[in-house]
Amino acid sequence: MKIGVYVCECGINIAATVDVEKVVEYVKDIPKVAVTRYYKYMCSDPGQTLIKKDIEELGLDRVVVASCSPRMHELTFRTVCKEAGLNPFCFEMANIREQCSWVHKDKERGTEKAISLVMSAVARAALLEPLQMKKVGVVPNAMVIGAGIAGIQAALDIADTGYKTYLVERTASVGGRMSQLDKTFPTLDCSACILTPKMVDVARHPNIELLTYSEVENIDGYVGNFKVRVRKRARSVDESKCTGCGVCTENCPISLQIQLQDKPDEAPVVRDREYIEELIEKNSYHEGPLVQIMLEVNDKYRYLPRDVLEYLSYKLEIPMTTIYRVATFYKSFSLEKRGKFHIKICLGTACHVRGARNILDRVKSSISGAEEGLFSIETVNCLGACALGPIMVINDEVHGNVTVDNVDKIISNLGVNE
Amino acid sequence: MSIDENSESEEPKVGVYVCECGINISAVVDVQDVSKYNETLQNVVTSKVYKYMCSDPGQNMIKKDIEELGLNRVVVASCSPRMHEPTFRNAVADGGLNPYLFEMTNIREHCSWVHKDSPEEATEKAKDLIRMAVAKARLLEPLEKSEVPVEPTAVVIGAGIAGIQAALSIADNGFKVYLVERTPSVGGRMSQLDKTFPTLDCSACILTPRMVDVARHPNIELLTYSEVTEVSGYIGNFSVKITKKPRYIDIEKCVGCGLCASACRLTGRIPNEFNLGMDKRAVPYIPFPQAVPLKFTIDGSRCLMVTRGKCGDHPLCAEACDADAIDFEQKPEEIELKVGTIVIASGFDMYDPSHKPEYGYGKYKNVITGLEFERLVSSSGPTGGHIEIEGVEPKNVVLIQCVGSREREEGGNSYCSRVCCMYTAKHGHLIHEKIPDANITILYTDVRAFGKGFEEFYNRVKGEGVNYVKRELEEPIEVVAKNPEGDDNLLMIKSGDAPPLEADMVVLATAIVPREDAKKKIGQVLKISTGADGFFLEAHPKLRPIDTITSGIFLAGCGQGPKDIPDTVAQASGAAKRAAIPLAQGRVELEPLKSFLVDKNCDGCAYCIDPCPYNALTLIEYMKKGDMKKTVQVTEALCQGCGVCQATCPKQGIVVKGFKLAQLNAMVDAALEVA
Repeated sequence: MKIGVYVCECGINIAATVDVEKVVEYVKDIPKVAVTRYYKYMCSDPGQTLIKKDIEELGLDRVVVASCSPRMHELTFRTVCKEAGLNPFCFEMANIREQCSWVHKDKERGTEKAISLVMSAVARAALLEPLQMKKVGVVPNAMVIGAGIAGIQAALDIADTGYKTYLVERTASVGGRMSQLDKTFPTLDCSACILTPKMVDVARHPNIELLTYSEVENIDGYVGNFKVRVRKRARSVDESKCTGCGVCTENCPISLQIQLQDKPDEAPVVRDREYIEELIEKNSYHEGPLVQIMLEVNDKYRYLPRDVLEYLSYKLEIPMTTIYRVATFYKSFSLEKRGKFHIKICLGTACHVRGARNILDRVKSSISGAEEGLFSIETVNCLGACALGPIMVINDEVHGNVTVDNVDKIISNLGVNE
Repeated sequence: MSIDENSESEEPKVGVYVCECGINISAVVDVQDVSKYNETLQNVVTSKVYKYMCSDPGQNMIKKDIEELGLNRVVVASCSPRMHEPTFRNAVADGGLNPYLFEMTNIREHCSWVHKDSPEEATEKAKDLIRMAVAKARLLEPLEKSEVPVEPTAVVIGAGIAGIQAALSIADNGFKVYLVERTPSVGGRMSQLDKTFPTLDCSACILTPRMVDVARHPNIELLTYSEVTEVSGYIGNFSVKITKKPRYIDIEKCVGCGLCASACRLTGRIPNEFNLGMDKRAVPYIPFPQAVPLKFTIDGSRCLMVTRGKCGDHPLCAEACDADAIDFEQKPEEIELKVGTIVIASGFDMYDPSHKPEYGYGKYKNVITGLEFERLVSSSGPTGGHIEIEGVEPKNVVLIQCVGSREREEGGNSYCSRVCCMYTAKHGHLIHEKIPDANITILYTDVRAFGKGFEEFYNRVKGEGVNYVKRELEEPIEVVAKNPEGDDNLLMIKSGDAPPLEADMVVLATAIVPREDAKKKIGQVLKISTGADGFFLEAHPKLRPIDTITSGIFLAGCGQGPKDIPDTVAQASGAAKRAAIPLAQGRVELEPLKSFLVDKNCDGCAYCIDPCPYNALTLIEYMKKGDMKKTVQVTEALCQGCGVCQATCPKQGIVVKGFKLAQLNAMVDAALEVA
């Protein structure tokens, strides 16, 4: 066995604290050490060439470099060995920089420690065996377990990269918890409206195979070569034939009845009872025109008062939950009293990029001193006239191309005092 | 029809297909009646009803009719185009017809599902919808998708932990990455931190290996001390101009030994920015010992050779350097890169509390910021990890939260910086660990311990005896000297009616704020917008939180908004993946439904240019018959076909293919039956 030992000065990084000559001198007499050298920068091209030449000319079969952290240059020196025809695992590195020169100031004791580190590296090097790197193939498919928004996004991104993706979902549909949410904070986007398109994308993606109503039972193997057993539970409906028409649900004798809340014995107290009765009469006691009635109520009071909604629920026999569902879905309704002048400011993309936020701030400050009930502000996401943006709608009047400078003028032209 | 320049001379032969969708449609809409009506419409050659148009037999019906009846337009009345437009486009293409000669109308979501109580009206509405679709179909034109090749390379701007992570991930995907960093070393803010909450890992110990990995990765080219000055082009084909600032040191030769710094005449006289000016360095410097690359940089703004052309008789650094690496002749170097995608990881600034004199920052030397505390407590910091100000160890420390965050006043930072609650708790813990007899009080407004392990950490710190005292956000804080005449350095912290607190050291938990140059420089160069808070805007706050509105440009880290290290790393991994998708695909397919210039109508008034949210339009001038003519150029790869330009143009000078005014007008006319 012939071991070559190379000690690096690392400029002065090592040499200032470790007497490299002394290290080399000490190590050269250890049995099996065939050559010892020190050099200013072992990692540099001349340093590397030094090792290569010795491997070729002296027939070294083990190499030890004492220099910096293996994290830094182990790969460099392994490559050197390989290029010179030596198995790269017949190389050993001793860190006499981070673990010696950088942390010790005393040159004499630093040198002693460096010697110890190099000697132990040499001792280990003598017992090193040639090893072979092994490559394993990678099955170019991925599996994503769970098809909530996280799983959906992960599956889409992997599939877009060009790999086949299995998306496994325990329940009967993708969508997860997000599909149960109404609106999402803080932007108040409708959860379903932003989620559903992604769900459709998943179903339609040529690289995604959807396994719903299925569970992962077992995973074997290792990175690149997992073997996954998935149990597809019986739906008792042939997925390839079902069209989602829902006739089966309607005809099932065990069906779900939605419980209506108990009807109060007496009509609840309501403001302007005559007017409300008239409104209901006009709309002929029908469930369909609920929206129409609510629109008129909203117009009259500038919001939907709770007592009126309760009265409508009582008279029309529509549960309050349904009424609230309608009231909170449409932007035209408000559950809080709006001002005499209701200002809608669009923060949709086109208006936003043209500074709608600044307009909003300006409007806020411009009306800050006004009496209560005079103004209310609402931000909306699109008013459908992007080209005119930024847009502000006051009651029904549209103001386009609003600038911070003309906000005050628009507001003072409202005739607030009339 | 003034703008319909390419209208087909061939007489339209329209086939209409009405889907029953099981009973989804047919239970409400009388599909047979509708189909009979369809046959009365102009140019309709055939109208058919089928249970599932999307099924194979349904699709085959369309293909067969194209071949046998010679249809040249197809209308399907079924569900949402989101669902099956691609299905039918493919079927039409399989039948040998251009896939854009297909029109879809939605009689399910838009009709049967929402009008189930009014079948008669629903049937009439379905007829209206189909009549409109047929009217548009007559005017459809064949369109071709185009493709642009993608340069299989990415650039990552900023080499903090976000940029490092993004670069490593893209590089591991097998693509070349340029990692551009403004300062001389990678590492960013994380390299200045001591420990990281809530696990108390040493920040450098977990960061440094990644820094080394970046330097060693065969797919990563590191461009430190460099700035991006110009970006043009579009997804797949960006051209990025970068200025490499002169280091006055040849990094091929420099070995990082530091002899130049020891020799420098100004050694120990230049404030060390890495330690926030709490100690001094030389003109040649590395920002911190683990810097990557471990190469020195001569601070050009301070060097006597650079500023005055003379340093004593001769520059001592050049004399000291064994490697002959000093080069005062270096000039800024411009390079231009072609890349397919871009990740912005440009980071953040810390709020400067001297904007608020009431905190006494800058006035009292023992009022410091959280980041200054990090350097103070770090064993690689100016005091070697001893918590002390001018040699005096504090015994009464007050840490004040929400400095520059959650501000109520106009123009203030209204947001929560997300990390201060936890880093302040960590500071409390570290003070307790290093000065066990110190009184530690944290003045908090609300403790937001929302992350994994955060609440547990907060409870642990409270259990160590750190005092949590609540203050109201609205109540101003005042830090004053206890004995203005004395030299005891004692401070009083007053807040509202609460009894004042006494302290000999105050640590301000300052906010994360957008980089000062985020909007003006980075934002402008990359054409990325910033929100009201000054952080970069994502394309969608929920579902595209990493993308920007510009295809091919992605966001990672605190440039997009305050976040902690795990969130930053997660976001950066996501940005890397998103950025790698086009690189892996090798080409970007462009839908043909894009803006198209009608040269004879456009007079270059440029009304359309500003409203375009995608920066897809450019005003150009060219010579036509000896006259200078102005017109607009559409960059197809940027255009998303939104139609804002078409709506803005007063002259019908720009149209969206597939949604031309004539086509839309025809639909409106058909809806109103005035055609």
